[in-house]
Formats: sequence, C-alpha cells, structure tokens
Amino acid sequence: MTWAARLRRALDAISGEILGINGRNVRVIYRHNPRKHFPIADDKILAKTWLGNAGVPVPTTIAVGEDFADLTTLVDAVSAHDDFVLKPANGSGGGGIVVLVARYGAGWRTAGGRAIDRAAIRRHAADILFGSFTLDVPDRVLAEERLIPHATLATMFPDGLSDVRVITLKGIAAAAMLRVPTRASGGRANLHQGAIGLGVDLATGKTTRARLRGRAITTHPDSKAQLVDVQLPHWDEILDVARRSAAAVPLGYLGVDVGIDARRGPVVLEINKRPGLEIQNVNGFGLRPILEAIEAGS
Amino acid sequence: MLDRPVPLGILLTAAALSLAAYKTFALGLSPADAVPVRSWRVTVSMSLSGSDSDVSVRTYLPVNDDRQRVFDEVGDTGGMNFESTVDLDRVGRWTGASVRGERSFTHMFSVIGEHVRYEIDPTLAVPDAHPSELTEHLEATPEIQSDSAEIAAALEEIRPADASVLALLTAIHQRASALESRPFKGTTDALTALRLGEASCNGRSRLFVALARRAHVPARLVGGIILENGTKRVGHQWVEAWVAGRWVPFCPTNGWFAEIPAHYLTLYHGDRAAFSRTADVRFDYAYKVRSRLVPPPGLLDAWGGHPLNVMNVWDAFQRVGIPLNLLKIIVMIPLGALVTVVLRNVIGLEMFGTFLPALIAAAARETGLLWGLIGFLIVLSVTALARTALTRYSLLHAPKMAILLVVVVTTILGLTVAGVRLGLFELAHVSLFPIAILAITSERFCILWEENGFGRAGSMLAQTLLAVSACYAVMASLALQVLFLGFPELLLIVIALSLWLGRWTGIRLRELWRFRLLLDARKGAS
Repeated sequence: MTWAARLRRALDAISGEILGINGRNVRVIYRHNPRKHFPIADDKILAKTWLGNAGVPVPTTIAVGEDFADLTTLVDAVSAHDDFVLKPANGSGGGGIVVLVARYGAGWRTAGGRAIDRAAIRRHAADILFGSFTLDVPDRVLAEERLIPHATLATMFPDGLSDVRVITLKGIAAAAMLRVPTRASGGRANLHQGAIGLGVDLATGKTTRARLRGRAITTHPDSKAQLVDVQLPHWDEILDVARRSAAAVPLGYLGVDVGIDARRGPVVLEINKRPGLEIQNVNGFGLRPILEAIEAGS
Repeated sequence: MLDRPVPLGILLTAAALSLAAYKTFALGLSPADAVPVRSWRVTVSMSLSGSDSDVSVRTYLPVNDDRQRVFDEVGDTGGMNFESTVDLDRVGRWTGASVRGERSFTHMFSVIGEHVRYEIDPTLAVPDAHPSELTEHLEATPEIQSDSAEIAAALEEIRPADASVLALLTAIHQRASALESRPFKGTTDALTALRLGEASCNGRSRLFVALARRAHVPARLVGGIILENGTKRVGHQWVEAWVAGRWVPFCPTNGWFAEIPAHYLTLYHGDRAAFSRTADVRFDYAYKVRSRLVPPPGLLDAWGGHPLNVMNVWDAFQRVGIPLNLLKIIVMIPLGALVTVVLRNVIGLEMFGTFLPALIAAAARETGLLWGLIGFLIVLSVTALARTALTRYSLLHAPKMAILLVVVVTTILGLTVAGVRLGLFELAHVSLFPIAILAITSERFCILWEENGFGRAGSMLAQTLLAVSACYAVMASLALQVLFLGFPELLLIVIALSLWLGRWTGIRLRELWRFRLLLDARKGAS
C-alpha cells in the first residue's frame, strides 16, 4: 500500500466508524450519562440496590460493612457460608476482591489456593473500609454469594468467573462480548490483565472470534477448549437482564457485566458508566454507526 | 442535545483578530517589528583579598556606540564603593577602605552588537597632515615602537606600489595577520612580535598600529572581549585606523579587514590594561557570557504606550517588584496548555498531570530544556524512591503527600546548591519547578508502577518528557512570546481552539494503532 493510501485511510478512520476516547466522552457519555448519576455505577452496593429494586437478578448479599463496628457481624455472617466473595463497594479493575471457594480447616481457601482464616477476613474487610483499594477514600465492604460458573463457561476456564459484557444505549443492546479469564490474568475477566475477549453475535449468542492481547486465537491457551462458534447458554435471558438493568438506572449508556450462574442463570455483576472501547477490537466492528442508529431511533 | 460551541469560538476569534488588526493598522503596532535579535548577558565577576589595606580595582565598562547597544546594567558591589566615570571610555572603579579577607563583586550588563563593515575609497591617499588631536595616535610608545628602524624596514618591505590608504592598510593587515598564532601569554610589544614572527592578539595589534603609524596613518588599539557562551578570563585586542575622518576597525588576529562582527564587545580604546588594581591584594576576575534571543531593543517600550497592551500589566508587575520574566512565562502558559491538549486529544499521548508538561516547560525556561528534563527526572526519581520507602508504613494520603512535598522541596534546594557548586547554573534554576504538582506526579507514577508495572509507568513518563519538549519548543519561541506580549488578545484564540478541540470526536492518532487490525479488516470488507 502506498503512503498516500495509508494516509487517506487514516484520515477516513479518524471520523469513521470506530469510537475513540474523544468520541465516547463527547458524543456518548456527556450526552447520555449525567454526572450526578455516576455514583450509581461507581458504588456496587448502590448499584445492587437500584438493580435489585427493579427485579434484576444480582448476587445475593450476605452482609454489608459500613464501618469498623460492623466487622464482627460481617465475619459472623460469612462464617455461615462455605463460599462467598468479599469486595470493596468502590474498587476498580477487580482490586481488593477476594473469592473464597471452599472451607479449609477453620477458615476458607481462596480461588488462588491460599488458606485464609476469620482473622484474615476481618483484616481484609478493615483494609477495604480504610480505603486501601480506593485511593484512601473510606469505602464500604460487600460480602456476597459466589457464583458457580455455568458448565459451558467452566469448560473454557474453570478457575475464574467469565462474564458477558453487554453495551447498551437507551436500553438497547449495541454489542456484546464474552470475557474469559486465563492463568495469566489471575482468574480475572479483565482484558487489560490478559483475559480473552470473544466477540458475540447479538442475534444468536454464538461466539464469533477470540482475541488474546490483540492476537486472534481459537482455543483457550490453558484449557485448550474451543472458543469460537460456541453457543452461550441463556442468551435471550442475558440480553433481557442487560436491558432491564439499563432501564433500572438513569444512565443511558452502560456496560452491563453479566455472569452466568450454574444454578440461577444470568446474574448482573456490575454496571459500568464508561465502558471500554476494546470491545470493538474483540468483535471486529466499530460502535459508532450502531450507536448513531440507536440514537436516531431505528 | 448539547449546545455546540462553534458560535462562541467564532466570536472569540473574531474579537481577537479585530483587536489585533485595530492595533496593527490604527495604532501602528506591527508583529513584523518584533523579530528577535541575539543579545549577550555579560557578568564580570571580581574578587579580591586584602590584608587590612585600602584597595581599588578599575576596569572599563561598555558604552553605546554606533555598533553596540548596552542595557539592563546592574551591579553587586559586595560591600565595596562603586563609581563610574567617563574620560575617553567609561571607567568603573571599586574601592574599599581597610579591606580584610575576601570581597566578591560583580557587574552585569546586556549588549546587542551589530556587524559593521566600512568601505574605504580606493583612490584615497594618505594625507600629508592630520589634525592635532590625532597626534598621539601617530607617536611611538615603549610598546608600539613605530620609530624603530626595524619597523621602518618592515614597512618598506611590504609598502605597495600603489600609495593609497586602502593598499597600505591591506599590506599592513596582511603583515600582522601573517604572524604565527600564539596563545595569550601577556603583553607582546610590536618589535618583539616582529622579531619572533609570532604573537597573540595584542602583539599582532601593536605591530599593526606601529606599521600604520610609521606609514603616517593614525591608529590605536581597541580592547574588549569576544562574546561567546562560556566563562573566560582573556580579553581581546584589535585596532582602529583613522580613515577619511572616522575610526575604522581591523582585527589582524581573526582576519577582519575594515569590518567587525557583532560579537565583538568594545570596552576601551588605546594601549591600556583591561584591569588595574592596588598592588598588595590577591585579585581574580572572570567574564561569564551567555547568549539569548531578545525582542529588538526599544520595541516593548514603544508598544507599552499603546492601550489594550499587556505592558500595562508589565507596569503593574514592576510596581510591586515581580520579575518581568514571570509575565512572559504567564502569558505563554496558556499556549503550552493548548499544546498539551493537542498532544492528548488529537495525538493521544498519555502523560502525567493535565498541564504538568506546560508547567515544567515554563520552569525550564531558565534551566534550558536539557537541564529542565534532567532536573525533572531527578526530582521525580528521588520523590518516587521516598514514596516507595514510605509504603511499608501505610500512611494516609494527606500526611504522605506532605512528606513527599518536603522531599520535593529538599531535592530542589539540593539541586540548586549542587548546581551552583558544580558551576551548572542552569540546573540551579530548578527552584522554579511547580512543587506541589511534582509531589502529586511522583505519587501517580508510583501508583501506576504498582498497579500496571514499570513498563507502563515508564512509557507514560517518556511521553510526559516528550510533551514537555513540545511545550518547551512552543513556549520558548521568542517570536511567539513577543507576539503574545504585544497582542495578548490572541489568547482568546486559545479559548476558541480549545472549544473546538473540546468537541473533537475523531479518534486519536494513537488509536489508529490500537484499532489497526480493525481498520485493516474493515478496509478489506468494503
């Protein structure tokens, strides 16, 4: 390709179908997500309240810790459970989340295989309250049920929770992807930490392609499981809970993260007010024309 | 729908341009007058040690003439008495009574020189008689032995057939230039230079003067310094010959014939010593010379008289004693901010702090870009180290930041002292760095390192340095500085451009790379 052709293509691309950071902020977020409603998406406990009130399935809350006086109650509450998840209400990027998968001695074992006792749980909860995962802003701590990955997803990678990210604008699904953790991502479904992104066809719920750190792959690097052309279970329900989540909160543009529990089916894990742009690379198409079509009401 | 800011942007641009046009056409201010010129800042540093004695030091200070302009002259007398008197030249004299121990004093001035070239009429003959005031410039002296037979013989050897002044001076200039070069080792008289066939500047110049006087052309030595960046102790001497009613310069050392370049600073005329002082003291001196581009002299004063001019602010600054340089920096910071906006939102650079690059670039005005970047890196590294060391104590945010602030301040003070000690005066100016912002940046750097690894933090640091350089390139542009000082209303255009960039929804250049596979695939499909 000549340099002139490259340049012309680059110029086309600048105002083309790909949504960049500038476009996302100016055209989508400023327009559809009023700043005053940001806390609903930022605070997991608040989000669960809004979603739960609207009848959207969310992980069952075991306990909430508001301050240090609540810690004893919280530890007592989780002690009744064989497995659970402890997370900061305002954490980001999965920081501060501890997943306890089974009892182990007097305490539990984490997803990473570490033994952890009641005192350690209490310490971690105190760290969360202290603001260790929110840049020193005091936070709340949330203990909730651990989801059991649906067999389809557990086949791909058993040691972590895959989730489906659905982008919605004005309650309409614009794009979706499945995020599958890897050993390299530490079991986290975060693309920047090395999770796999799978494009999902909105109409059928089948995976279309898989990307790991920008490279196309077809099988999971750890489990060797097939990734492409896999039918996601409960697809209509997944889209349904995403739409209902969008309708439940006053934020027009959302990234709804849906986990698929073996027992309960789709459960909304969290909502993002400023979802990332990588979903375009994962799916292989730009978001801009889709969002414009939704805005135009077609 | 959100309002589009285009009408406001157009309004602001129109306002700025019409104000600028009004000033240009109705008030006669023109940006074309503002092309910068090179000036030299000269610091004469002197020190002496007395043993309870009365001391006196004398040197020559520059004056304005038709080829050099002296301004911004200040002195630090260091406890001595200072007076300046004018005889043939301007003499600066520092005196002290019963001085014991060391005294340091300095004299500083800026100078803009001009390269001048004289035409000598080739038909002009050496006149038979000269006015009586030129007599001293024809007489022999102990160092300029124009009455010596050897000088006379040397003149006859080179005397051209053509008896014109031009031919004569050309021959003399060539003779004096033909001596072997020798580094400066003190005074060489004309005859010694002739006999040895080698000399430094003063020997060559004395030989030139002796030959010229012998040929009945009035001539004299000129003393001064050659202006070039650095520190030096050695002055320079060249000559002037009286041709057709004026003094015409020659430098046999560097081959200038009837012309003299802009970086020659004239201090005195005649065969004199640059410095003289009382005998029983230890005395040392040095010239420190630094070049910088400045607005043409007189321009800012000329513009200051106009209404709507930032010079009014300048005047206000002066009244409360705020350095004038600060005004230049303040006016340029919005421009640096605009550069960071373009780098961030159009190019897609990721950098620390919204305007950190512009502020560092502003501070680097005094340190120079290289030392600015080095100083920034040193302060950041030391503070990041301190921050890492503090991790184990799990401190709350505000107290931790207070500690980092102290580290930043200490590092900056340390760099200033070290800079002065090592003679790196540029580095010493890091004290202009934005202290609080550096502390915050170190914190961000450490967090990014912790959360995303050193690669990511280092890459962001490198992009920040790149942005600092880009801001510096724009903010250090003297043409832009003068333009914005003269036409501060142009800052409205910065607002207009920011309004436009603030609604820029195109993908950033860096995102072309991020989505390159997507772009390739789309192209293939269409």
